[in-house]
Amino acid sequence: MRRLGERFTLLGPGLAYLTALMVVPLVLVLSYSIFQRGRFGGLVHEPTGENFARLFDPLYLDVLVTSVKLAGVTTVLALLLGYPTAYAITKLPPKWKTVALIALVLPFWTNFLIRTYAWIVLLSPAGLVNDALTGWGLIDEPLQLLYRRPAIVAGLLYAYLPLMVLPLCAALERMDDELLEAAANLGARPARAFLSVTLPLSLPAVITGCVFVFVPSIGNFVVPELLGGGQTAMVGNLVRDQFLKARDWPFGATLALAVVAMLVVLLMLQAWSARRLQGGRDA
Amino acid sequence: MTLLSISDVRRRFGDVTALDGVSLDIREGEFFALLGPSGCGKTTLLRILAGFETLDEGAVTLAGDDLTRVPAHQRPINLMFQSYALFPHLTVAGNIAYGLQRERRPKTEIKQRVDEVLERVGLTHAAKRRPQQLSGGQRQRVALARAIVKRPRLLLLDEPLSALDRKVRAEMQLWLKQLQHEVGITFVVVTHDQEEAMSMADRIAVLNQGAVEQVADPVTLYGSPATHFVADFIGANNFFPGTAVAGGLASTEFGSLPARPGAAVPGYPAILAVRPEQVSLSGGPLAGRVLDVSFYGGLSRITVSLSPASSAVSPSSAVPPSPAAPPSLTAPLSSATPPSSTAPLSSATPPSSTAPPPSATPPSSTAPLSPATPPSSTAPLSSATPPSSTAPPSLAASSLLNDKSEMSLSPGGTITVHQHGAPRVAPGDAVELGWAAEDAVLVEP
Repeated sequence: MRRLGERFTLLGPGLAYLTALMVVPLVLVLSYSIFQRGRFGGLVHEPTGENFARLFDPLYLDVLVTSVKLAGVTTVLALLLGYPTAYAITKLPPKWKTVALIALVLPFWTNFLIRTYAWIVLLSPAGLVNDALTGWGLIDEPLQLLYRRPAIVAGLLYAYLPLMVLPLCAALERMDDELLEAAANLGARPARAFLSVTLPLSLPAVITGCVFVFVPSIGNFVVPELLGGGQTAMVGNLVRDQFLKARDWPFGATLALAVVAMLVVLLMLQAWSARRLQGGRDA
Repeated sequence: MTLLSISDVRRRFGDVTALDGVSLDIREGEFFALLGPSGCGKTTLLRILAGFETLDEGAVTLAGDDLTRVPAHQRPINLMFQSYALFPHLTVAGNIAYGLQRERRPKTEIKQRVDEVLERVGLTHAAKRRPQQLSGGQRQRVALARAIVKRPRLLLLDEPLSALDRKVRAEMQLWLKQLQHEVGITFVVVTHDQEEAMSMADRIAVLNQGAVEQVADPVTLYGSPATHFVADFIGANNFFPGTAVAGGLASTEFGSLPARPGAAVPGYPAILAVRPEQVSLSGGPLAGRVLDVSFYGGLSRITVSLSPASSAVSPSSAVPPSPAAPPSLTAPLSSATPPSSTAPLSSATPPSSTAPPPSATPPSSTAPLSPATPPSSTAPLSSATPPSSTAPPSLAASSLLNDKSEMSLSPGGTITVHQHGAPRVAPGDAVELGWAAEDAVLVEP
């Protein structure tokens, strides 16, 4: 039992911090979902299932579906952009590899809000993109880029692309080049070797990257607020509005619970598939 | 018939010359070994054959077709990687089927051929397992099955036994050789392990610093090494520098020593190489004192400190060994090995530390090879050293194959002698050493 004690000594501080400052408030807030709201906000401690029924109100269901769609599109685009990027980075000479990785995480050192505001400057009717397009004579009128769904996706993609690239880089870096030589030796062209060896072996990292992008995307409320112009609300905005504007804490908690439940299922799927793909001991 | 022809292949990496004009002809159906120390260029050559590496100059043809422009995935050559390089995401059967799937064979044919080869390597029961679930020996057999299922013209094996433990090694060694006979594919093994090469290959090319030193069958390589490097790299040897003369070697320090001429040209510097098991301790041109005796079961290893020879003209064992013995009878091994004097024909004066007592023959008489001593008269081959071929392969024999001795001997140096059975001498004994002329060979320095 000494080892168990040792483990708890090491785990203790972090565990205590998380329990006290995250798990307890989270459980408290989520527990609101079974209570009713008070007339002027606040809480009436009378159990009800009403909040859960409201989740399936088309109005709110639509927001949930839209959120999943936007986060999903962001994730797919991040994968399509991130995989070649990660692949290219791992093929760089060691010195440039470091430079590329630093460049990748550099934006994280800047405030997220400021970076998102920068996108308004880029996408606004008098912004850089429209200026360039009109300047080159490609369009006559400035395009309405801002305050549309693509703007939200662009913002989310920009924010979370590194979270896709980093795990992919780690996985592709670990890849044994001899496996590709073996594939070539057995008659596989380079493209076939990639599809049949590199891609399947990097699949666990692909799933990890997708979860890393999808999870913060679906909960994000800053990007839809600033770039979506408040027209397209995602579930993050909705939760915040319920707590801070509508003063409907029980329903806000219910919405949050729905998102948390969805993400837990997603993480379990990821863990399961990663074990299946990597270990192969269950074959 | 020549299957693979390598002619004058050169490859440089920056300042390093990996291959410096290598030419080899490998015959159809042969078990060929490329043997050499690490850095000799053998891996570069293997990678050139597989198509993973380009060559700067030279040509490689397979059955007459130029290989140099063929990309790796189109070559009828398969490689068994040293690390095996099995695909971790595929099952054993999936790994073996991979190459056939690339040929777009029908599914039924793939299944039949995979089953067939799985049975041949004895892994039918493991077909659905993943490589990570297999032992080292099993993984190797999967790697081999994956390579031979394509029925290549040529199978390259990169250090095939190096990753296996000793017991599995011996088993795989035998099995590989059997398999090669059964499937009839030409095997080229790349190895730094002489035991691996000697025990399996029909012919061996010894590589050193990017060049071929000698190509021969194992028995010739062992018995008649062409160069000093080969004589030293293959098995254990004792070396005497000197000048080649008719009937042997003229050594400035030991007088005339009997040997076959080998590749040496009379009048030119040469090195005499004599195997430890060929040296007899009962009479001969050399004298010395036993330093150390170790018993290895079937064999005994005896280390003898050499005295400057006085008996070049009187090979009779009537000469009492005591006056020729060095004064430092209890000298530690380190002081008995002088650091220099490795250059052949360096000087007529032996190192002073091992100077003979005044009663010994003066140095002047040791220099020229006396015509009065025909090699046959030096010493009859002692019955204590039977031909090595009768020795059972044992742990002792293989460990003594790597029994490295000094690159060149001078008075005070230590010569290694192998005797069959229990040792018949003890440390401190004065002995005479000799060998029959046909058991020693002159090699290029």
